[in-house]
Amino acid sequence: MTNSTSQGKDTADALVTKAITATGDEYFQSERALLARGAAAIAALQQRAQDPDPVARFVVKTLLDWIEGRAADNDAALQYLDAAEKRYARTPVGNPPPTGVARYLVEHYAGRVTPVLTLRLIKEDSWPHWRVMAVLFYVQQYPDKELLAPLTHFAATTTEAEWRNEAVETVNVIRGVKRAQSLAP
Amino acid sequence: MANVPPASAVVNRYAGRVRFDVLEEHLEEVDFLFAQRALLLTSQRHTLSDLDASEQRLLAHLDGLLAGEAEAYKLLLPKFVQGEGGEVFAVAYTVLATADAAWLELLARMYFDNAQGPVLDGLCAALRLVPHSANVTAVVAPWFTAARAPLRAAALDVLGFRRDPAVMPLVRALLDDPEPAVRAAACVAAGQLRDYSLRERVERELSASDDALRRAALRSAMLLGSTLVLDQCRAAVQRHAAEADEADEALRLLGYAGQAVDLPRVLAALSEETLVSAALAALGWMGNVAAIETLLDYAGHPQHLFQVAQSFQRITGVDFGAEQLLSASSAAPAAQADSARGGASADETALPNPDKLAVWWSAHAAQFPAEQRLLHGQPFTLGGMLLLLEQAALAQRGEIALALALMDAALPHIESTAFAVVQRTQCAACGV
Repeated sequence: MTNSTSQGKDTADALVTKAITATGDEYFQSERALLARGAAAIAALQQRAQDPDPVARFVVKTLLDWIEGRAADNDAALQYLDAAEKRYARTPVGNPPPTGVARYLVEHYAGRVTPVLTLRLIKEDSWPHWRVMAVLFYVQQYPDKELLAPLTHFAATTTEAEWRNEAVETVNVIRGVKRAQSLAP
Repeated sequence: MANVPPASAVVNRYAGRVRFDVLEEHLEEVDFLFAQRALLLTSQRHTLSDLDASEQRLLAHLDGLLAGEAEAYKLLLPKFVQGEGGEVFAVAYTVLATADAAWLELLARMYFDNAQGPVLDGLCAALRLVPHSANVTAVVAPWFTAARAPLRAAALDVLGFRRDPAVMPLVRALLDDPEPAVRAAACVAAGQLRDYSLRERVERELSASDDALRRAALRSAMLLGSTLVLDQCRAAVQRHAAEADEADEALRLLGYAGQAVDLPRVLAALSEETLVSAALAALGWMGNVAAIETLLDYAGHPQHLFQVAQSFQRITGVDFGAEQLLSASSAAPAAQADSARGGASADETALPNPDKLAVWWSAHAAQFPAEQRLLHGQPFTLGGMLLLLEQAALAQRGEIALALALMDAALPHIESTAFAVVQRTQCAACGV
């Protein structure tokens, strides 16, 4: 019994470590596994809640909040993005307009899904341009200091100049040295 | 007055109008001038005034980045991840000079704490040079208890370089660090800060088995007024054949200390080929005209002519050019000498003709008192040393600053690689 508990805890710890360090499919496997464990994953996540790395702390806190009560909004917002992509794929434009998506997120979720979308922003390897820009425009409307570390990390590591520029704009909005991009149509 | 916008609004209004290509130019110039500064510091031709002029350009371009701070992060942030020396210096300097506490804390914990290799080098350069002491302390304070030894050593290096007395209790603690490299950094910082309460603790490292630690302790103990270290230097010179590197350092330190009792010991070291250069340098620092004939004996050896010329000049103050003592083909031996010293820039040091030098000495020897320690033909004084520090070639100023500190326990150890304006403030504090 002791062995099986210890083994289970080790696995949860490993999943948390992977969630912090990995990106792309490897990250999503660990995210899915942690969310599926629900309350059983909380102890392992809480062990890393004081990690010296601010980005690691953000990942842990966002996953904890997801498990502990933000699941409905988070899941709905992510489903909306997937649905919008499919719907616009059939149109001449091809992709959803980033400011329109950001406006939708503001109207339906206010600032409640900024953490999960920022988490996806730094963990996705293959997000299309419209998703990246839409999330950055949306996050700018709710300047939250908790998002500074992941957005700074994204700005420093992305190889796309336009994404980096908008991420820095977002960082500057959160720091209070710039105004947010207007979402007016 | 009511229509004047608050300062933050003005900054915000202009922040959006900063031209990105101008910021790129500033970054490129900082990168270039940072590298140029490193080369200048090894120059045998340029002086503190030249360094100051170059630094004014460097600071002007840094000001350009500081003015466009918010916009500049589009350019600067990736340098934390993949930048090199000058670029990392630029981004770290900008952050340290402009960031509020929360932004600085975030960047410090995200990037500074994980820095390694060239990123850590560029970062430490900014930490040493930026004038914003509170921000520097905020960054390095957690490093004193960091798990990584290079960070603990870097914290000592930075605050020691800045002569920040707040580091003193930490120096004491890290003198007991398990890593020799950290203890060596603590020894260096103790000497830089001239914390005499640490003298005995530093002296304990004079017998350390780690070479770098022992050498750091040697120099630091000297700055802390240790008498034990002079005996250690004398012993090191005696056993030169086995430990040439340490004997080399010991000879130079005996030269800076300038005690007449050590003259025979230094002259005897000339019999060991590996110690000739250090012994010739020491003779110059000892300032004793009794050594001139020996220097002239070595002037005929091209590989030693550079050092002979320096030491001859250090004792007599002769201007080789004005006295028409220059050799027609002086550039080549100078380059050889520079190369032999380990790659310092060769520059265009003009070397004297050995025969002309001997003739000049025959004619002028009577002008120099035999019983006094001389510096450039004058009694060895604080004023003379400060003047020399202002006028000497940049490559020589480190040892001049050390010799100056050894003159008087109350004098600061001037940091010869700090910004020129900082050095001049330190010199002014010497009270002349």
